[in-house]
Amino acid sequence: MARKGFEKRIEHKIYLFETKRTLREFVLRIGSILLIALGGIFFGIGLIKQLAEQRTFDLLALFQEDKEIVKEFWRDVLDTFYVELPKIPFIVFIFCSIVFLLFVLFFVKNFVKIRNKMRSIISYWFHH
Amino acid sequence: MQSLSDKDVIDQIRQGKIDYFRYIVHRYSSRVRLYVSRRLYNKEEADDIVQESFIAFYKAIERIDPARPVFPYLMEIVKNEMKMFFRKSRNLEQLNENMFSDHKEQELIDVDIERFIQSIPPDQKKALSLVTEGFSYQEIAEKLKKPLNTIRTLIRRGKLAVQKQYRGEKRL
Repeated sequence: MARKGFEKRIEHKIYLFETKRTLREFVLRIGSILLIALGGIFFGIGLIKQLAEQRTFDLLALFQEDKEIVKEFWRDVLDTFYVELPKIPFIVFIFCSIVFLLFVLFFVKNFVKIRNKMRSIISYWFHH
Repeated sequence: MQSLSDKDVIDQIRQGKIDYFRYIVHRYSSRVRLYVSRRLYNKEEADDIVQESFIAFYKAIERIDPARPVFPYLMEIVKNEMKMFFRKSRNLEQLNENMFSDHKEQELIDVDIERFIQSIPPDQKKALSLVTEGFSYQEIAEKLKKPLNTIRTLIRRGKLAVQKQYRGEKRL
């Protein structure tokens, strides 16, 4: 009986530790994902807006032309597109997109583990 | 519970099934508790160490090699926890200015100790001289540009050396 009580105390401490750790990670990850997503959206919209104001998207109309014309002028069009592209917002947008993708991949890869952990924690606190 | 190997249990815990950890606790807590309680007479402290060891083991579970047996790894953690416990509970006595303020020191007060100071090592002589001049330990530390605890040690050793000489002379 004493042994069972002792084992239960250890179990309680483990669940306490794991709950705090999971909550902390959850808050940090969700906060980071939201920040990255918002940053990406903000810079993405700004990028598109600027390109639209500059009428840079009109350059892409080339690709609706004949194959021969596209073949001849596609490099020039892309060069011009690159020159007109606002670099910093573009880099930030790409960075945010990559990081967001990594977060999503991490979540997908660890989905089973996260689900099991949440189930264990919720089950423990609801039954004890 | 007996049918699952340690490796299977560790694998399940790594999959997020925290409840499997109770298998590890159930299997090894008695042995660990026995080991610790034979070395620590206080039951509560022994139980604390065992609990902290299992928690430390749980925290390290992602890093351990599941193919290797669990018990030796767990015992390493237990031994480290015990080492830390013994280190924390060792009483480090801070040397203070009144450490030798007992009746034996009183006999030095009325005696000219200057002649006894001459034969002690120079750094102790310097420190003790400044004490007789009325400087505090902190002031002496600043004057001699040495740490406070070093000054305390020098003065203590100087006083012991002087006392030894004085008592030696008294016997004669």
